[in-house]
Amino acid sequence: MTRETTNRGVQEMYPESDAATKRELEGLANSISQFRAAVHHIAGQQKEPAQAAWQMDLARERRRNAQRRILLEWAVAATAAMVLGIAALGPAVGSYRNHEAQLRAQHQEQILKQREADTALLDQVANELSVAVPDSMQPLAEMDADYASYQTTGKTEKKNGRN
Amino acid sequence: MEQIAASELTAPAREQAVLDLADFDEVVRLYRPRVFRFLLASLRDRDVAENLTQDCFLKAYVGRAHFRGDSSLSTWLMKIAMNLVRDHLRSKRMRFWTKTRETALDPIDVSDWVPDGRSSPEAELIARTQVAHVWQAVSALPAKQRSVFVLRFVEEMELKEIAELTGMNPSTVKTHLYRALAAVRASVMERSC
Repeated sequence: MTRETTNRGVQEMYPESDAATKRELEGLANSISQFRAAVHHIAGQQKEPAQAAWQMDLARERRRNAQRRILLEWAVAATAAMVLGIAALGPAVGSYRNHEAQLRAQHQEQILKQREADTALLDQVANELSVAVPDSMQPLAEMDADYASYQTTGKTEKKNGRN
Repeated sequence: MEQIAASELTAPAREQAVLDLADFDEVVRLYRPRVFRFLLASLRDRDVAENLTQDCFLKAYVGRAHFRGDSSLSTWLMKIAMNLVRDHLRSKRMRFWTKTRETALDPIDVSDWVPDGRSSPEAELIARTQVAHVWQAVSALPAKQRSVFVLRFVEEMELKEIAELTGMNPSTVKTHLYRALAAVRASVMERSC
C-alpha cells in the first residue's frame, strides 16, 4: 500500500470532508504509511527463518514447557488456596473446640451439682430415718411413756398400802 | 499465492492450495513474513511475535489435514495467527503478575527504523515522531479494532478479506475500522499539539 493508496483508504472512511479536513487526513494517511513502512522494516530485519522442521521442534518444546508451567502454576495456586483456607478455618476450628470444651465443663459442673444435691437429699433422708421416733409417731410415744410412768406409780402405791 | 480471497479460488486453485501444504518449508518461507508482521504490529513484542509465528506454523502443520481449501492458505494462516493473538492477550490478562517483557519494543526505538531516506534531518525527525505517535495510538486500541487496523493498513487486505478472516460482517469490519481510525486520528492530533 503506497502513500496514495493509504490516503485513499483513509479518505474512504471520511467521504464528506472539507478541504481542511482533507489536508488533515492526508497528514494522517502519511503517518500511517510511515508506520506501515516501519513495521515492514522491523519485520524485515528479523533473521532468516530456519528450516520449518527445526522451528516446529522449537514450538513443540515451548508448548510442552508452557503446559508444564501452567500445571506448576495451578499446583502452586491450589497449594496457596489450601494454606489460605487452613489459615482462615484455623480460628474457626479453634473457637469450635473451645466452645466444645466449655460445653463439656458446663456439663460436668451440672453433674457435680446434681451429685451434691443427691447427696444432700440422701443425708436428709438418712438423718430423718436415724431418729428413734419419727415426728408423726411422737404423740404415741408420749402416751406410751405416760402409761409406763402410770404403771410404775400404781405398783409403788400398792406396795406401800400392803406395808 | 499471497492475498487470494476465498471467493477467487477456483477448484484447481483450491487443490493447488491443499497441495501446497505438502511442501511445508515453502509455505513457511512464503507466509512467515506476513504472519510475523501481523503478530509484531499486534503485540509490539519481537520475541512473542517470533514465538507465536512458530506456534502458528506448528498449528497449521498439525491441522493441515483439516484445511480443505475453502479459503486461501494466507487467510487460513492469518486466522490461526489472530486466534493466537487473542489467546496470548487472554493468558496475559490472567497472568497479570508477570512483568512486562524486556523485549517489548519502545516506540522511540521503533521510530529509529523508519526506512526511507529523508532529505533533511528535520523531515526525518518528523517522520520518526509520526511513526511513534501512530504506534502508540495503535497499541492503545481495543484488540478487535487493532487487528482490523493492522490487517487493513499494514497487511493491505481488502475489507471483504478481513471480514472473512475475522468472521465478522463486512459492515462490522467497516465500523471497527472507522472507530480505530478515529481513535488513531484523535490520538495523533493530541500528541502532535
